Amino acid sequence: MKRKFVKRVIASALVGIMAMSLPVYAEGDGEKVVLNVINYHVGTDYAADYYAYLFEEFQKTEEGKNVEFNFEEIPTTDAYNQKIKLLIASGDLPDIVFNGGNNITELAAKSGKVADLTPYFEEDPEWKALFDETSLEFNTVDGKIYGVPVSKEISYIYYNKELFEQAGIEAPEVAYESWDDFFAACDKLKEAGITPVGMDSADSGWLTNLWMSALIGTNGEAGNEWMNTMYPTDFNTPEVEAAAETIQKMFQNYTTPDAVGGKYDPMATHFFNGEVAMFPNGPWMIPDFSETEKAPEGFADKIGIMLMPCKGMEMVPTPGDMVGAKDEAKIKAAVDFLKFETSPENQIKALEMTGLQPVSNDLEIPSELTESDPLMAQVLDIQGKAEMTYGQNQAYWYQNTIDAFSTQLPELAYDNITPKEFCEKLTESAAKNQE
Amino acid sequence: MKTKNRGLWIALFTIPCMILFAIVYAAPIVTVLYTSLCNYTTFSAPVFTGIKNFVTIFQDTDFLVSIRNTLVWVVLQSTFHVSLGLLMALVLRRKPKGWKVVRTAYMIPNIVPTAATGVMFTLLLNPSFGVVKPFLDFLGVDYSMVPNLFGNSRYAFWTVTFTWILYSGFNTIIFLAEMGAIDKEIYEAATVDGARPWQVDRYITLPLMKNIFGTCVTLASVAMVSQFDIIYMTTKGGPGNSTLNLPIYLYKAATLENNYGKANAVGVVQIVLGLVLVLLIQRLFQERKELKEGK
Amino acid sequence: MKKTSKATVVTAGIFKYLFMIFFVLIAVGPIVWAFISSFKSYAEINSSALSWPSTFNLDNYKAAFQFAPIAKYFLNSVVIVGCSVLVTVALVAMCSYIISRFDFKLKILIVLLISASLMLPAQAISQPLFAIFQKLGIFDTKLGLIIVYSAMGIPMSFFVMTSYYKTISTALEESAYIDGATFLQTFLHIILPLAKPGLVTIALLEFINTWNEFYFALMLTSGDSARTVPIALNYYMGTFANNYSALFAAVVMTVLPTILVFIILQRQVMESLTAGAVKG
Repeated sequence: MKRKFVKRVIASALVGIMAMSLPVYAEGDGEKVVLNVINYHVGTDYAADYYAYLFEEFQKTEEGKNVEFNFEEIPTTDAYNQKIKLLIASGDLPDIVFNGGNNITELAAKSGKVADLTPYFEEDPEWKALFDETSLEFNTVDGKIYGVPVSKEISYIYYNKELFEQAGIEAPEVAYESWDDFFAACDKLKEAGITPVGMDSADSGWLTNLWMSALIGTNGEAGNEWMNTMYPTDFNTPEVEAAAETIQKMFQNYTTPDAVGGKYDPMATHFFNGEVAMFPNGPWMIPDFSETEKAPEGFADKIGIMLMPCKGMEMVPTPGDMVGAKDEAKIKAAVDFLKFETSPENQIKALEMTGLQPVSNDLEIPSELTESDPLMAQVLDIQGKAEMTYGQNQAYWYQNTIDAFSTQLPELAYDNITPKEFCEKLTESAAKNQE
Repeated sequence: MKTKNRGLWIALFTIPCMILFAIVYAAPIVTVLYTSLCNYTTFSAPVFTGIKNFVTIFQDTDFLVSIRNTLVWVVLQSTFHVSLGLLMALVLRRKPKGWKVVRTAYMIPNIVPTAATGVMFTLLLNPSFGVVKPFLDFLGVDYSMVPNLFGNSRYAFWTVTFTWILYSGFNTIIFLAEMGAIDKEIYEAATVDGARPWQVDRYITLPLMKNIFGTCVTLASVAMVSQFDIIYMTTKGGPGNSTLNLPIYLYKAATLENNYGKANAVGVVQIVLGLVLVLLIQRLFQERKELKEGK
Repeated sequence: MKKTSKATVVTAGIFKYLFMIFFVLIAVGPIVWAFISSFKSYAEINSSALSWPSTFNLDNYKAAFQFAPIAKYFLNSVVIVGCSVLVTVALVAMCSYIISRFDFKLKILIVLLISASLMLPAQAISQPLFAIFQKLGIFDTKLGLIIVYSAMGIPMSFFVMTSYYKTISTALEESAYIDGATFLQTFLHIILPLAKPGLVTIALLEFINTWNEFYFALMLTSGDSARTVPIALNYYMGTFANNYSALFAAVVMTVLPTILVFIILQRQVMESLTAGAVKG
């Protein structure tokens, strides 16, 4: 399967090279359209199989049968983002620009090197109707839509039922009513010798970011609004400072010693090994629970799901895929692919293969899927019970602020700076983007 | 030196090198110098603004810290690290039993890809399951908390330093080649005169190493001025700014702040700092006599 | 003539061996550890650094081949690094000979340029390079990377080689000139053979420096035809799933042949060293 795919990639790459040297031939009507694509869903990426499937299936459709892909593979989003930025600057973007997690929509749009997709959305109301307003707005720069959101990101808390039982506490049905209740439970867990929560700080401090976003996003209206703001510049608000103080306490009292400076993988393993009771993350983690390479046999059965305290849930529209093609035929073909990628069937396929949540709100999820995967069913169910939703830093903050967050967290954890100073550092870094 | 067609040969021998150089470096050097004086971001073309970028960076404490860290690393590397390489070369020079194994083994860290080295050290030094805890137990050290070597800014700088400072195989190889070039007769004469091994090294080998030692110090210094990979793989300049150096600062300005003008201003500082170091070191080690001889 | 006491000799010997053993351990330790870890599962690698793998199966080695075209990238690496080593050595052998022997007007400029380029940050030069390479049509080709790597190797090799030439006495050349030899003859037949240990050393250094180069390999290529091993290694690191075991398996597979190359090259150094004894 994989081999075949690689062959196909090489073959299409060859076709691509030949076609590029004969541009007249390539643009003749009815002839092949070659799309340059940089794919980072390769190697151990969680969605590698899904994207291999997508590219293959697209070429079987009416719109896609004349399309050939010329792939460049770039493993890891980190490397991908580095390269995409170089290509934005040089103006050599691929025809389809996948969004590599870091929010590059604004950057690409302002550089003027990606296509305005608004006309294509207007032309096809049925397609446009698949997306809610927030998702499209998130991908709009100066009134024009540049990105096609392909999924929605949500996250919540996974907890280990067995450890809760050992500590003699019961997890709430949906969520703890308050953060006080949550920390009371943490204390109980700790008394029973169990580490309550998983946290980290390296890379972007993903887990800690989820806790912090929740603390801010559930802290009244002001906090919730702040946590739903794109590119915040003032971190010295009472809500953010309070959250930083709580994060400091969590690092010092409720998590593993390697959380400070730690990367995601060892933290996930602590959770898989039953060393940590609660772990914030999204649906893409579900397949890992039953993978014996990572978690012990039967681990998936021990897992429960709850929302963040105060019925909070992180939910962000994802930064969408963009079109870097210049000529009409290529833009059209690229849009066709993005339409295919966001078709209801493929949204469900993505849910099934990767755990990515559909971007469309009222898709009918086939019952086979929910029956075969009870955790996924629970995720789909619990989403509706969230009373407060908010964003998280990777989607909303400036990139250098995310980095400041990650490098300053250890300082906060070891008491080298106060929560207030921590927030000041973030404010300072955000200000650098205005220089 | 006198030879026919001196000028012609000078040209013929240096021009190929310079052409290759020009292809790769000419345009970038000009670009870096010029855009360091510009307002230039990922999504805007360069616009001349004078020394604004330099003013900005020199007002940033993180930048000043990154210069300090860079310099500390330069000093450590050009003294301890290079000397270690020399010491190893002195030991191996006498070809003690197993010296070939040692020589090859000592090079291995230099061929292991940095990506892997970074992962290895972060896992090995993990406070929960790494080697630190068993090691402290073994030494009988009393601890309340296992030190988090990469995570705590108190240790991070030295931990990062540790990932490269002991691995001086590179210098060992250079020194060994240079030592091999020493006339064997000198050694024989010295041995006949009853010089002890350490005396031979002290009075014969070491003085002859002065030149190459200068070269190694130069190389070690510039390597530290542009050190990037390992820091990026382990701490990314954190915690706080404890392991921040110029290349990491530059990288962040370019890729996280999208501010190429600022990044290139840092680049200019980096180049100037490096050049000053190179000239200083060369002055320090150059023998004036030789300069004249070379004519 | 004083005799060193036997005790001193023995202690010195013990220290010498302790010194060597210590450095061999810290040098080889990590790669041995990587080798052992390459058999571990995700869970094992992320929960204990010192444990033994539960089974010694070869799955991770299979995975290493499955995720990335590692064999192809390895071959690319060999070709690209090999050629750039040759180019660098050839050019530097000539250029630094001139610099070490002659004084001329532009000399200081050349030395300054070469020194400056040592410090040029990769991030700053990647963009202009990208544009130039596309214009020259050498973007995403092995030739492109060979050019960059050769140029990048020049400064370091230049310093080492200039210093090495200085250890060679000028008396030999002068007598050759008196005997009527031309410049080229002198260089080829007298200087180069004497400089061989230096040349092999810079070859080794250039090899080490380019073998692990990641950034330009990523920025200046777009397909499998010119990509090198360091890029293959990135295939094992993904969002929310770093396959460290496969990474280590790949590292072991790519490092072992390199060590072999190394041993062979070093034998060369040693042979040439004995040849170097005639030097005045």
